[in-house]
Amino acid sequence: MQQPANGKFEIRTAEYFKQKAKQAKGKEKLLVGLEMSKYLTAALQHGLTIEELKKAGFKFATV
Amino acid sequence: MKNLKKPVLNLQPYNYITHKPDYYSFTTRTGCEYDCYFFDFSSPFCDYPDLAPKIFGFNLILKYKPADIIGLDKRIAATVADIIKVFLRKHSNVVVYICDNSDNREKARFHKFYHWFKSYNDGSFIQLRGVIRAGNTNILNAMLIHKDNPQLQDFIEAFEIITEIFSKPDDDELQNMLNEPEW
Repeated sequence: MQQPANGKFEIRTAEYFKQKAKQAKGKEKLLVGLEMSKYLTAALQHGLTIEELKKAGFKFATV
Repeated sequence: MKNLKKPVLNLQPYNYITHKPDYYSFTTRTGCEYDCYFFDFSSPFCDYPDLAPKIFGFNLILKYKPADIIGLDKRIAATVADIIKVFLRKHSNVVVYICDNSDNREKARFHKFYHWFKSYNDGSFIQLRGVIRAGNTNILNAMLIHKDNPQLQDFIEAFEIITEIFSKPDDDELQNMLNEPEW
């Protein structure tokens, strides 16, 4: 996950990745998926909770 | 002579907690704490509206590791494989795993994940491997799907198209990469 120059963790929404994937072509779409996966890992490491990520539009699933 | 090699399939997964509807967690005997979760991965498959809602990404996070813990704990693999298999059985869903390349350890990560799942696959699941070329970087990924998934062929086709050069036409090349000495 790229950090902004000021070192602050940049918050993203699910919509951001949705739009980015929509605009991407072919394999680039999967690269957006990788970016989203890395973002979620980084967000949790930076102390964001699953609840906060859900509020940002990300969806999780269990059985 | 006593056979000290315990077959991996006999290894007992750790008990894990399901934090419905969001994630799973488990703690190893050495005190390592793991979280893992499935997340909506529909965006990259937005050109396939019928399949997209059933596609989930998967992440495993080592949340806490006590100091001076070394060595391999094969029960972690058994646990992760169990969580994924249960997830794939209960849904007609698909799991995509893309290896994080931020620390240049993506090959090791992919190799480990691939063999974890292969070792614990009773034949009910199909694992497709893919690689995406992005400049000088190879993004390694895999799709896991139950062989009885009613849309099996559609998922395979979509995965092959979206990863472009990967699994089937270029399988030899991918195998060569996996056999490189640094693996």
